[in-house]
Amino acid sequence: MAEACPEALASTFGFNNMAVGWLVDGIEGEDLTQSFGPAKPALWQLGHVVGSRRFLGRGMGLDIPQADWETHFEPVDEMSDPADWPGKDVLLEDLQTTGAQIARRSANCPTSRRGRWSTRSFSPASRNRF
Amino acid sequence: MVDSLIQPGQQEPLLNQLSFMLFHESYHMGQIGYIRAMLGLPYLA
Repeated sequence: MAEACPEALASTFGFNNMAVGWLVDGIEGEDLTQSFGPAKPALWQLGHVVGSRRFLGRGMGLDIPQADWETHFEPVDEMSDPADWPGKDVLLEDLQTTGAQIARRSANCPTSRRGRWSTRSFSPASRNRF
Repeated sequence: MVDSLIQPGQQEPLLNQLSFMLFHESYHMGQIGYIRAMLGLPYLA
């Protein structure tokens, strides 16, 4: 059986760092907080992804203090007022910083190139590579 | 308990957490993709 190595997943995790940025790129203003049928708003989806990363990071023993806004993005039937949610830029920045913390914590196998993907960030120009 | 997840040789629980996170993020990325489609936004502008 092959040795378990988080790097096998780290590159995919790093891709998500970029892809989430791509997905919310161009969604602005009221469109960010608009629900579409059963789909919660794009800003909620983003906040939920970021909040989940923070939750996972704590489970890995990382010192990630609870942010006031995290409760807005918990999976409950009744959403809070979007006026109380943080902006897209705040959440995207947290996605990157929390992702980098998790990457550093995960890259502990001998063959890993630690930090390789943790430094990736969303770049509009890089989307043409995929 | 938590620290034991990241000790050398005991990485499978960590892999479980990371792979679940990827699975979870994929679901919500799909939801945002659906919203993009509803808004008429392309994926690769």
